[in-house]
Amino acid sequence: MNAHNFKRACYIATILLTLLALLGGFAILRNGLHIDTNLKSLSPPLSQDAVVNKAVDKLSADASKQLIVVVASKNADDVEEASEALREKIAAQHGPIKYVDQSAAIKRYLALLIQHRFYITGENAQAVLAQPDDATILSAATANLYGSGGSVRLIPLADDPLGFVNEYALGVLNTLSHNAQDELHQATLNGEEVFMAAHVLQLSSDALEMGEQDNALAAIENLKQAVLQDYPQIQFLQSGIIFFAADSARSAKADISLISTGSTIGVILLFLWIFRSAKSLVIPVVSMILGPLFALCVCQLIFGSIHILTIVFGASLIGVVGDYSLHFYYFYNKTSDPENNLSKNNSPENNSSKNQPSTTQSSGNTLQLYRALLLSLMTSVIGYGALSLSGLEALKQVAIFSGLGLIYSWLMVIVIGSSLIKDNKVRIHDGFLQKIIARLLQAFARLSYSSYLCLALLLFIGLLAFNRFNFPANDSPKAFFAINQTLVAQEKFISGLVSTHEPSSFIVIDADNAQELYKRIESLQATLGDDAAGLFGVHNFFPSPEQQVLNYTANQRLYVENGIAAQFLQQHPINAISAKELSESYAHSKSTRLSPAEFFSQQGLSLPPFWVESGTRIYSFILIPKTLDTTKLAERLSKLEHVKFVSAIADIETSLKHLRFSALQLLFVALALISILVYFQYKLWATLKIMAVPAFSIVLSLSGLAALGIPITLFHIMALFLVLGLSMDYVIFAAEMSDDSVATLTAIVLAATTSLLSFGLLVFSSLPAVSAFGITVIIGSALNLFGAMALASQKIKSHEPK
Amino acid sequence: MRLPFVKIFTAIFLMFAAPLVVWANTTKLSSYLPEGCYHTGEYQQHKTLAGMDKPLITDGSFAFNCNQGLIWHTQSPITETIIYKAQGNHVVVRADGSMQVLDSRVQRALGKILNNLIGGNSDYLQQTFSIVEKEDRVELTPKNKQMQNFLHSLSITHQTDSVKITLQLAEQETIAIRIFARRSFTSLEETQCEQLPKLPPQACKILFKGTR
Repeated sequence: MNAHNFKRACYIATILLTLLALLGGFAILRNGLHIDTNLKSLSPPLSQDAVVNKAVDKLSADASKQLIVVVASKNADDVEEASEALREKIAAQHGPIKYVDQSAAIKRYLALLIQHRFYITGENAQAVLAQPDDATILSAATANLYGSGGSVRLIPLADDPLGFVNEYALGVLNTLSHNAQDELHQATLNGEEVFMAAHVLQLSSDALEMGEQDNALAAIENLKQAVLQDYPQIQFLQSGIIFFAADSARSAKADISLISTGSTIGVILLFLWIFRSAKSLVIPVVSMILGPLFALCVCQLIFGSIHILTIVFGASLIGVVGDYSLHFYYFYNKTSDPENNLSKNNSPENNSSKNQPSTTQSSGNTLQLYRALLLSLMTSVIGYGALSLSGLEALKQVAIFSGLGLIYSWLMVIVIGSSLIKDNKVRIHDGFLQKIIARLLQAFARLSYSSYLCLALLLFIGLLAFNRFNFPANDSPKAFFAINQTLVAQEKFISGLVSTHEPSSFIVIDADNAQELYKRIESLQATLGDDAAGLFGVHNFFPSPEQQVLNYTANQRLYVENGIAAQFLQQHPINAISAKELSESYAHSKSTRLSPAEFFSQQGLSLPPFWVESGTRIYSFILIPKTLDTTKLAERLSKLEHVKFVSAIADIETSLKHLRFSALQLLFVALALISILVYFQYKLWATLKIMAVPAFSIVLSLSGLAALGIPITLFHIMALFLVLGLSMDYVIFAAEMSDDSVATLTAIVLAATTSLLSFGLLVFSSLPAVSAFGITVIIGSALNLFGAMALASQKIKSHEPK
Repeated sequence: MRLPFVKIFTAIFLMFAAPLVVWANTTKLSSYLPEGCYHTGEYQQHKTLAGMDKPLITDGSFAFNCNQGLIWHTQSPITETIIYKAQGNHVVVRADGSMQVLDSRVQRALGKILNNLIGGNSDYLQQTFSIVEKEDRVELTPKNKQMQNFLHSLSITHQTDSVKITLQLAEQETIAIRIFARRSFTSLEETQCEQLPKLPPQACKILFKGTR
């Protein structure tokens, strides 16, 4: 392929990709730009089991919509009044906040109990039915009718005249925590005894989408101000994932602003300094704007939303994209104006290229430029693309966004650049820089390349010894976020008041059928003894199939013809039902046992996954009371089969550790594969010399981080993929344009400057994950530059007259 | 000039008249309610349920200590005692001596209302209900919408030797309680409570010491 055909292919690719971007742009105009702030996408999937993951995702999605508002004051009346005012204001507003409405679920639950009423019996009733004499049963039923047992009727009298099902329903609903919400409690807040009421609310929209999040936060703030205006003496506390997501989004917005503004200003100033022409800004500015814009439109089209972390990383593309324009201008400068090259006056190696190139030579040189630019693009795309192998959803999107942005920016440089610089006139004013680089190269040339390799090896061993051959690591997902401690304190306080169960640990039981599952719950209860009292699961909602059959059999005494129910109705006539009708219903209900799936499979149920059916298996989550020691619990459960203790934090840590190790292995595999590719282009010794630069950059970055006392996270390892990509970028340019080492190296130094600027700004990110990425790339880029210098300096030696 | 004057006059009148209106509303209510902190008495309750032609009638007695709460003892046709503690943790003691905590929202709210009604806490009633005075009774409607879900209205009627409290509950349920033979005391400690003839001593223990 010649340069002309290459350019034509670029034009076609640009047109096709622009059409794709227009589609994405149209989608944004129609549906709006959706920015996702969900921090969960920075965590790997919890389990290898798809069902468990799906259930955890549902739990997480439900939790992200939940919001708790606490009204507190030393005066109980103030709390009651403010709570009532809050309730009225929430009811009156038609915004995104509403109370968690379980009424439909409760209605459905009670309807199921009524439908299967002959299989359901309360605990007291079971004991009564076991008594041989009918009088005891009649007496218990009378007590239910007259006494406190009947004061709250959940099951209508006509369906359950004796009140035995009602007893069961009352017991279940009393254990549901939402029963106790927004009622007055006493608590200690900041060392003071206060009264408080917690209001559990739900956001009707996706709280992790930035636009919806802003609406929800504004609505919460309005409610808060309205309540505080009427009750200034109360304290208004709030907790929920939305506040953490909003806090992170706020930090990320500041990061995006800092990185994009800093990078843009830095790159523009650099171009103005080197090229001294406003026209020179056209290619970098257009490519810097259109590349990320293209990526934004296409990602929105693919994913439906764009993660805020993607935009933060996307902002760092500005520095990388500037490199293409730099190499492009340097190439045209070299072909158009050989006199405008200080290196020729300062370096002895430049004497070989003084003549103006002919048309054929020009075309060949242009193709050489395109080839070098393409290789540079490929290494960067591979570097960023490696992020998709991280196993984290957020990084997958970053990889795709960055890859797309780089490709489009690169195309812009080729397409606009070749149209704009038709007369091949580019002036470069880098004399001062080239002088420094020429001197540096001469200084570097004093040592042989083998000496540098030995020095690098010694440094590596020294750093390892300094670290005592130990790499500190941190696989906690918390190491990725900068969590606002005020929000954490408030969350802990409110969680302590409202929640009774562990938020991120649970027990998962699986079985082939319902009875087997209930048997395993019984084994679990037997193993835990008294500690099992607070466990909360499907067994709190419905009796086991075996118990249901026992209940049905025990109820026979009541509902046979002229049975106990008939006697009871004679004493207490209920006009809506007759004894005969009850007997017939009982007989017709044979073999119509209640399955928990009838209740838990309904859509929109905001309950934990107490019953999940997948193929022939049933999975059931059991909630663990906060009072239990989860470490001891995990040990005790390890002996039980099909009963698994799941700790979200511990599992995520294990997953992240696994991902960190596999990413490191993958990094070295990538290094080996690139070495093979390079070997096809260069000879073995040249390949080894080239590949030594990225190899040492990687290992020295790792040991350097360890020496700085920075625990290695998955993000540090993922950043090393980019270090590898950038390194290849530098060494390929150094190898491809070997006829003018000073000019080439000046371009490399300038390219490294833009990269260092962008990634340097990442270091200041408030998100530790982004900051870790930045610091790794900075150390790696500096080492890459050093390696490229050492490599290029050998060319000076080879051109020196002997 | 005249209109502002009328407005100012009306405002001043209302400023002074408003407490008078409240006072007028509460005087009748206060006269219906018992005074003091310690009472005992007897009751007869008629509960009308949807689906039943005849009301369910229960008889019993009660004891009230404003600091501890209320013992509500049913003697016939069943034996059952409910202890509505002032702090809100209510317990039922059945004929066989078994106990159960009553922690449903409705039971807790009903306990609170009963405690304040039997105890004659007019401050609470004024805060919680809109009070309308009729010729022969005082009608109370909950201000709180959540309370309205289970208690539509409440009326208090004064008879020669008794007070009748009628609770209009949800689901067409009505509870009419006639309180009579009411006695006030200067104190009602645990030992005195245990000596009351119609109350089980176990209930007094729970009222003063809790279930443990």
